[in-house]
Order: sequence, then C-alpha cells, then structure tokens
Amino acid sequence: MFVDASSGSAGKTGMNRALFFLFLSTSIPLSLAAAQISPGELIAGHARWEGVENCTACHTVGKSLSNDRCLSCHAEIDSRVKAKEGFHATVSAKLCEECHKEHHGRKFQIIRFDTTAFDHATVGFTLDGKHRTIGCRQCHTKKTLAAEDILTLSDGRKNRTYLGLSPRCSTCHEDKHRGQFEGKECSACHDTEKWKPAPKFSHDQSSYPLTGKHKSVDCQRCHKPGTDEFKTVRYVHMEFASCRSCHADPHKGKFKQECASCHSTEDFHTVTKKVFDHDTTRFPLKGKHALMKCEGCHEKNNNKKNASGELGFHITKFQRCADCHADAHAGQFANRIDGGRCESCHTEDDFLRVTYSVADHRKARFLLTGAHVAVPCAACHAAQKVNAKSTRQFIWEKSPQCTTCHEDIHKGQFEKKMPKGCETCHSVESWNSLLFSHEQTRFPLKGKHAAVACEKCHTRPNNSATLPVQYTGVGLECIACHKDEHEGQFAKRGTTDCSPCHNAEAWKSLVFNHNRQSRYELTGKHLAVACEKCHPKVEMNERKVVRYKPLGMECADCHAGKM
Amino acid sequence: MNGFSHRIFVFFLFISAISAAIAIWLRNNDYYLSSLDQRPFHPRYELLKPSGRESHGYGVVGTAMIIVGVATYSSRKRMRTLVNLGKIKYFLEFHIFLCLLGPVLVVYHTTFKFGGLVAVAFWSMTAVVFSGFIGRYLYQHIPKNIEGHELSMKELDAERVRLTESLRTQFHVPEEFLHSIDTIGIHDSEVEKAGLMKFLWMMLRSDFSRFGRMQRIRGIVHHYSIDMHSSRDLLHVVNERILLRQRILLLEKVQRLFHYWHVVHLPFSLVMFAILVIHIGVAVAFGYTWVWQ
Repeated sequence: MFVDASSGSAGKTGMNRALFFLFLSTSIPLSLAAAQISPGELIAGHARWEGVENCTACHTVGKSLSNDRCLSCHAEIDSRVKAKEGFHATVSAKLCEECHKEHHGRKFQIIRFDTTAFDHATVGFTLDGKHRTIGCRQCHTKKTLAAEDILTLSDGRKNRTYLGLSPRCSTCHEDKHRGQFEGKECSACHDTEKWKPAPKFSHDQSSYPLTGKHKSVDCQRCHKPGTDEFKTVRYVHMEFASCRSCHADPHKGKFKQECASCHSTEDFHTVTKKVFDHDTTRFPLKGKHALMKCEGCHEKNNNKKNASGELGFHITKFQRCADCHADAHAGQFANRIDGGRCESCHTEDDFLRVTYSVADHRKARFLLTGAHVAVPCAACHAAQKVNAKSTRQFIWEKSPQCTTCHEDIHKGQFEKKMPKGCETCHSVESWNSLLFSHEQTRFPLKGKHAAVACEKCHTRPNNSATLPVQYTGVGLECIACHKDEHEGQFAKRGTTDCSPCHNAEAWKSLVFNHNRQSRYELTGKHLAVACEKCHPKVEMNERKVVRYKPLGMECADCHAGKM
Repeated sequence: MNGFSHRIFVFFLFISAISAAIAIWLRNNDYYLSSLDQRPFHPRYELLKPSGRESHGYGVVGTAMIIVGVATYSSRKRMRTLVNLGKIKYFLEFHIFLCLLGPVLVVYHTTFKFGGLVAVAFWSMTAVVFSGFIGRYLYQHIPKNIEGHELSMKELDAERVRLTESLRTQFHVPEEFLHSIDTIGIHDSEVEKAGLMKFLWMMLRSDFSRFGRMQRIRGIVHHYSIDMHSSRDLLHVVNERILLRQRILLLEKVQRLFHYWHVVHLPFSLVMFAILVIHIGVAVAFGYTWVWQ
C-alpha cells in the first residue's frame, strides 16, 4: 500500500503549511539578501558600488569581466597603459581581476605585491645605489606626488597609490642648488650611490674646463657658500672670464693683457714660450736671453730687486745692457761716442764673442795691423785692475807703445836713439821682418858685413842668456868684432883701424897700397914679391902672426942673406 | 536485482559518494583550509574559486545531480505512468545518493565560503539534506512491504500475530515469555504522553538500545530456560516482534512527523531551487558560463 503524505486533506494542509513556510523562509532572508546577490563584499574603496543595482558598474551583462569597466574609473592607470608607461603597461595583456580580486570583503588587500621582489625597472625607473636600500613609502608619499591626475585623487588613494611620481630627482630630493641648474637633471652630475661627490660631473662640461693646477683645487675654494639663508654654494653665474676674478694681480695692473697671455694654469710661475711670447714685449729675448729662466731677470717677490735693480717683477729699465748687466769693462768705454753701449761689440748670443772686428779696431787709436791682427785680444788686453775692478784693459790713457805690450828686448838700447820706438826698425807684420837698415846707423854694412848675420856682431854680453843682444854701444872698429890678426901691429891709440888696408868686401881683398900706406914703397921687383916674403909669420902672443910692421925697411932687413 | 546485489549496489553508491567527497577534500583541502583573504593568492585559486573551472564544475555537476535526483524521485512518486519504471524504494535510494553527493559537490563549489543571496539557497539545500536524513530515519520507522509500500495497521497487526505464532509454535515459548518480551521497549503510555522532542528521543533511544534490548531478551530466554539450540533465530524473531510492536505504537506519530517533515523538506528545496535559478541566472548573465564560454 502506498501512502502519500501529501495527498488528500492532509496533503492540502501540508501544502498550505509548506507555502507558508516557504514564505517565511524566503521572505526574510530574501529581504536581507536583496543586496547580496554578489559573491562577497567589495573592498572598502569600492563599497559605494555594493548592491545588486550596481553590479553592472563593473560587470557587463552577457560578457565576462573585461578591463574596460575597471579602467573607466581608474583613469590614471588607463592613461598610463595607453601611454605604455608604468608597471601596468607591462601587464596590459592581463585582466585586472587576475591580480586584483574582488568580492573578498571590505578589508581585503586588492592591491598586493611583493615589494621586495618587484622589479622597479618595469616602471621605467631603475632603483640603483641607495635607492635600493630605502623603503617604498619613503619615496611614494603624498608629498612627492607630481602627476596631475594623481593629485586629483582622494587623500586615501593618494596615500595608498604608488603612481604619480616623477623620475626627476627633485620629486623627492630638495634642490640643494636652489635652481641654479634649472633645466638640467641632477643625474647629469650625481648618481644614486652618494650625493657627494658628484661622480658624473666633469668640469670640462662647464664653461670653464679645469686645466693644470685648477684640477687639484678643492671645489669650495672657488665655489663658496652664498649669503642666502641656505648658504647655497654658488656654481653658476660666476665670474671666470678673467684670472683676476679669483687671483690677485701680482703685477699690480702693470700688464694690460690677460694673464693667460703669459701664464698657464700648470704653474703660475712657469711662464714658457708656449704660453708667453717675450717677443711681444718691448724686449724680445734673443740669444742667451732666450735661454734664461724668467727669474734670472724678473723677481717674484715684490720686495726684492730684479735684474734691473727694481723691486718686483716688472722691469722698466731694460733699454741698456747695463740696466741688468754689470759693466764688465769697468766703465772703460764710458767716454766712447756711443756712450759705451755693449751692443757695439757684444751680442746676446755670447758676451765673449764680440762683434768688434779688426776693421773696428782700425778705427781705434791703435790700429790693428800686421801681426797684431792675429794676436788674441787677451794678449794685448790683459786682465787688469781697472777702476778697482778686475777686468781687461781696453783703454789706455796714452796710445799704447810697442813696449806697452811687448817687452823691450833691447832693454832700452834704442830708447833715446829712436823716437818712433820699435817701429823704427820693426814692423807689425813680423818682428823679424825688420824695417831696420844698417845704413841708418853709424856703421853701414858694406861688403861682406852685409851678409853677416846680425848676431855675429850683435851678441849678448858675456853670452849671457839674460842680457840683451847688444845693438848699441857696439864698437864700430873692426877689432870690435874682428880679431886683430895683426896683433896690434897697426894699432894707434890702442885701437886698430883695419880700413886703410882692408874693406868689407873681403878680408883679403886689400885696399892697401903699399906705396901710399906704408913707408916702404914697393917698386921694381918688389911689386912682384909675395907679401909673405917680406912679411913672415912670427910668434906674437903665442900665435903665428904675419909681421907687417914694424919691419925694417932696409934691404938687408929682407935681403940679408943674399947681399 | 536481488537483495544482495542490490545491497552491493547501494554500498557501491555509498562508497562512490564517500570516495568522491574524500578525494576532492584531499586534493584541495589546503585551499579550503586557508583563510578567505589568503585564498586569492593560492596557486590554484583560479581553478578552485567558485567560478574557477574546477569548483564551477563541482557546482554544475552537483546541481545537475540534485536536479536529477529530485526530478526522478518526485516524478516517480507523483506520476502513475512511471510506476513501471521500478520500485519507488530504488528511486528513493537513487534520490538519496544523488542528493547527498550533489550537495557535497555544491559545498565544494562554494569552497566553504557562504554569503550573499545564494547562501540562502545553500542553507536551504543544507536544511533539505539534513531533513532528508531525518526523513530517511522516519521513513525507516514506517513499516513497508517488499514493494516499498507502507503497510497498513491491519497488515502490521497480521504480521505481529504471525511472529507471535512463530514463537509459540516454532520455539515453544510460554505465554509468560511473550508477556515478558512485551515489556521490552517503548510502552503505550510513554508514547501517548510524549511531546515531539521526547518522542524523537524515545525513537532514538530505542534504535540505539539494541544491545541492551538483546541482553534483556537473552535474559528472558535464559529465565524461561528455553531451548538455546535455535536461540539465534529465537532472538531474531523476538527482536522483530519487539520492533514491530514499537513501530505499531509509534506509527501514527511517526506518520504525523513524516507529514510535518515534508513541510520542511519540500519548501526548503523549493527555496533552494528558486534561489539557485537566480544564482545561475546572474552568473550566466555576468559571463560565468563554465566550459561554455
């Protein structure tokens, strides 16, 4: 038997009760659940879209979720996705719901990402240096928001968002330079490791590249704090066109040209031709002047004298050599027509290589001629004390004589006799090239005398090596030089005059005339008799000497045996 | 299908349902046990969220099972043209299987997250399921024939007479024995005075006191020194008689309870279906169409 509890009157009662219960069981819950057709509460930020009438705010009827509805509200993300900027641009192919889950309650973290694993480079701003060590919210704060669209968001969203920052350093960092580098990025000079120093900064990029010693100067030596309340160090609009902007002018304004025309940044005191061309001055450096160091003439210390005797660097007296150089000639040439200008004889190439030529010397009081031309200057111009100064003598009070330079080897023998001095006999061509003519003496050289060497007659007394050759006071008599072969037979008053019989042509070329010069006139055969027949050699003074006189004049004196 | 194979079949269904439930739990329990705010970050969130491919599938399949389970059983019960399709008992068992496993799958579809309008459907479904347990319990206390049809009071009385005669003739028990065993179990006076809750308690106590009851029966058997060779059969018949007597005593109230049970079971299921339709409609409207996207 089948009994259906829902059939019959019991069934109708049951159905009524069922319907009543249905009403109770559904009406109350339905009224309470009218707004809960959603699978869960929305987050607090979306709470105003809670309710069945707002489902289509996010959901599209007949379609699954798409990004359009989300981005229609989150315009700040939409604009960035379209501009291909920011993190969401890298995940634009994904659905929003893949990362951002809704309907999980008011307090659900719809934005949740691992800040430690997030690759910041995906948003177009790589975190490096110290940026890696700081927390996200140290940069992402309400104060650092820069994007216009983010600034219009509510305070709550501004506090939560990670959008809206500008990659510019000034977004987070105070501009320590107070706008001096407006238009430039901090990263042009600074990196994220440390603010100081600025490793990317190169002074070469500035309007004033640092060269030489400027490179080693501390920045603050030039870039000093300003007078503003922040004591901002000044980097721009600095005066640098002139060295005087920073350096005092040691030349006290005496030079009109720029410092760089002479000096370089390598070393202020090192002025080279690469930097300074002395030729541009009124004193072009020539010769050895060009080889000198600057401090050889110029004095760095303004309290000390320079080469010209003036204090400091600047030299105004440079027109004359003597302005810098001591007169090596002790003023000997002071009275010269040119006032003793050194340039007359000397050049800057070498002081000792004088330009004073022989030709010039011939204009002097002492003409250089002959062998004098070949004589080294120092041979005549000896070192002397002139005006209490050791120098060489160039000027004599009187015209120099031969003996001024040359020793009178004749020891004054001709002093009185020769008013022209040495030149009477000698010439400047050669000492041995005599101008002397014996004819000028009291003993003209005749005959063989002319061929006799001077020293045969003119000897040193006693053959002394020190005594001069005797030229004067030499006996004129024959026997002064010649030996009296006749042993004084013909001497008269102590001296023998050989000339009556002899001449200078030849000793044996007699000019003796027996008839005129003797008392025995030769006649007859006596004329043919050899001299020695009558004149025998006899012993005289321990010599065999031909006896000429006295001889007997009697025939018997010779013809004794024959008669 | 004979009784044994039927029992095997029912056991298979039971095991299948249990296995499915356990398998899904083992597969996804880490997700279900995680807190709601952490679930979106679970690696399998996209699959296991209620609209995810897996969980959505559980919901679709579970709902389909519920619909089929309800439709088949209700149709078999109400439509005489379907009488020949099989015993209603079998349809009930199938209904029970589908409407137990189906809700389990629906629970997994919810991922144990209950909220919104659909929660009303869910709790209605839960009420239906639990009321089903109660109904099944009450149903069990309504004596039925082999066809599954309820037995009338006349048939119940005839059965009790048959059992009594069996005791007398087969086991030769004295009358005192019969009086003694009639004292076991629920008494008339108890049933008449009992309210609903006490009545339910009496039923449960009776059902769960089988051991005590059997001990008393043994005691009585021993007391009367009845032949123990067939004690097992005797105990069974005595127990059957006692149970039958109780059921006869309880039948009216059980039937009344069963009637009231319908008042719960049916409306809740209607509410469940109504909100289910809304839930499915909204989900489909907003693009949650599972594999049919």
